[in-house]
Amino acid sequence: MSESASAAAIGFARRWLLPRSVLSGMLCVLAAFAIGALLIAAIGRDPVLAYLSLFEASLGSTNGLAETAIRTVPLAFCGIGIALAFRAGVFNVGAEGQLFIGGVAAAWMGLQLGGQPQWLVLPAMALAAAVAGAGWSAIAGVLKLKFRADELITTIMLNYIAIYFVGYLLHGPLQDPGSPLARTARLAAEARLPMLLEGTRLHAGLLLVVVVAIVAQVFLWRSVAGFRLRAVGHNARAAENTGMNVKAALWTGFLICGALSGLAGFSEVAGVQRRMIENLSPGFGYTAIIVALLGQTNPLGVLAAAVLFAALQIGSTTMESAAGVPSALTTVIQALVVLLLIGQNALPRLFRRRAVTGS
Amino acid sequence: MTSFMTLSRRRFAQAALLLVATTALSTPVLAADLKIAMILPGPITDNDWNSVGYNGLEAAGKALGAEVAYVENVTDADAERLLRDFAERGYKLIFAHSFSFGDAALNAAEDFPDTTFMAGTAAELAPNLGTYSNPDYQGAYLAGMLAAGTSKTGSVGWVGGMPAPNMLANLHAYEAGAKEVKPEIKVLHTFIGSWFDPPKAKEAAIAQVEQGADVLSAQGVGVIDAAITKKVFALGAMTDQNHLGPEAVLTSVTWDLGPLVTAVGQAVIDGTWKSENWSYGVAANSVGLADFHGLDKNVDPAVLKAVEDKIAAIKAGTFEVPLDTSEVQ
Repeated sequence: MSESASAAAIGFARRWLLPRSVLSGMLCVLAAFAIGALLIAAIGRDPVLAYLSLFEASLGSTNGLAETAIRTVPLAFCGIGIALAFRAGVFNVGAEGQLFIGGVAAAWMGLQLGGQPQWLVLPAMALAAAVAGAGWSAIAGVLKLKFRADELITTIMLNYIAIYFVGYLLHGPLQDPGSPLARTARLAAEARLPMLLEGTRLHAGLLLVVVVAIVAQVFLWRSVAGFRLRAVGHNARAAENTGMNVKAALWTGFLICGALSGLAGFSEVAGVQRRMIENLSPGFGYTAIIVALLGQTNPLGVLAAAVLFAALQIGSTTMESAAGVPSALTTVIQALVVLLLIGQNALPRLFRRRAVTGS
Repeated sequence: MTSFMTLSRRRFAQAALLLVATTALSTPVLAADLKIAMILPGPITDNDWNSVGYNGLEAAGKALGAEVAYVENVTDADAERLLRDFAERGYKLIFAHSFSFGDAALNAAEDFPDTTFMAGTAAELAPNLGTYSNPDYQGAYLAGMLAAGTSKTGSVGWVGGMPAPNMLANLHAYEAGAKEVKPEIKVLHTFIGSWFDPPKAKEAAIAQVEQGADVLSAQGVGVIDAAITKKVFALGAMTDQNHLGPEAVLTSVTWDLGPLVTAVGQAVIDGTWKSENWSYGVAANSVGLADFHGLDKNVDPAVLKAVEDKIAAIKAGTFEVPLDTSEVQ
């Protein structure tokens, strides 16, 4: 991609993908819910009942809250990674694949270190996941920096390769010897994240992701490296002319996104599933792109957006059984949020142009 | 007036007593309170494994007057969350209708000790986690006999998902049934490595036909398509699948889960439920053969008679279908 083209792409993203204020993000969410309500009414169901059952299930009980928090973890890990990459002008949409690679690496490390103390096993698993995820992302980095291959294309293709590769591992060398299912053996107790709340599945991955969000926020806004990242993302040529290392900033974007997505895989394996399985993620890495955009690519905003989307997803199945509204509607709402985020700047423009033509 | 009052008071007391007695008697069986849920790995309209689960749940709901709910297309990663969600919402009996939900059911059962869980062919049980098996290998024996009695080439085929114990039992019984009718028959088998991959199943089935098989046991979606394409016979599974290929599907080995879900529900209501393996097969009328829809003219009449005798023998307890879950190449 030529300099001007990438500058144009980044400019496009700045203008269309990165909204200006938190308020506008919230308005988009509310508008998406309003349109969703019309759709629910259109199929003859009660929108109030549907939304009540949705949030009752995800926020109305200890178990529901815990499940929402559990789902927040992978969405926030991937979302923060994607946000930081976007800030550097790297459109890494490969979080899903990086998550799978991270998950299988974590499980492999956990099984290798079976019997070792927890303080050793868990960090080793997390490290393996982060390194593997970053390594997978680095493939797209090399393709971009050496061969100018657009990462938007390469990362999405690498997702499929990653998922099929993990499928091969789970059907082959890493398969649980005692089972015909495509999954690794169960992890020992030392290789599992500690539980936070008795009687629920809430695990320590939540604490980890909150710490990561705070560190990422400080990194982005209060560190020199974070400033360089943003400068390169704003205008790579200008940054280069001031003597900044553009390549280093781009690499940071690729590697951080890969490492954090790998950690998402680690937390799912060590915190939730207790082994690596096929279909580990129902598309966390893709939903996280929306989460990153809704969170204004600010790590703490991304965390908040991840909570919202987690609650939406957790409540959707209950909404289906309690109010008869297909759970796919929540997918529609999620997609509407994106469309509105992208479209919100176009609407005033459209009206302004009309006004000008009118006068 | 006074006597009337006394009388009415006595009557009132009698009526009250009667009422108490009936309520006391009927509470355990009325089951208005029991809510039953099921999570299923695929769509309930698959005419296969998931339809069987859903139909069983609905039948039990009607029989017991219990409220039922389900979630379909559940992935292994999401199974535990949905089991916990149902338990949290007061469902006291929850079915995890997949071999691969065993882990999830075990974890959920630990945190919800007052809820009864039932997992399909689970390896590990808990005090509040039982399992139910699918003894369709008994029907597979009958299917094997029919396949051998229909085949003209001396080769029959079998296409299944993954080499799980219940699939291995099915394959071995199919082979044993075929060999009982024709000891020299050749039985081909393929595991496609997935529970649901119609193109792959179809391809595997076509490969078997090209190797000479002219009757196929369809243990997965896609095999019947192959039978239609290659103009051979298929034996359906789980539900009467004749409508998927009216000229191709000879009959189907059906599985009716209704009696089992109803019995488990009744046991939970009565407080007699035990954590064990619940298995309802041919003898309980849960596993059987569907209608031939006129295609029985293609089967050797002697074999048809032998199959009928075999069903009677299983029901009478004079014949037991061999259960063999050993691994195959």
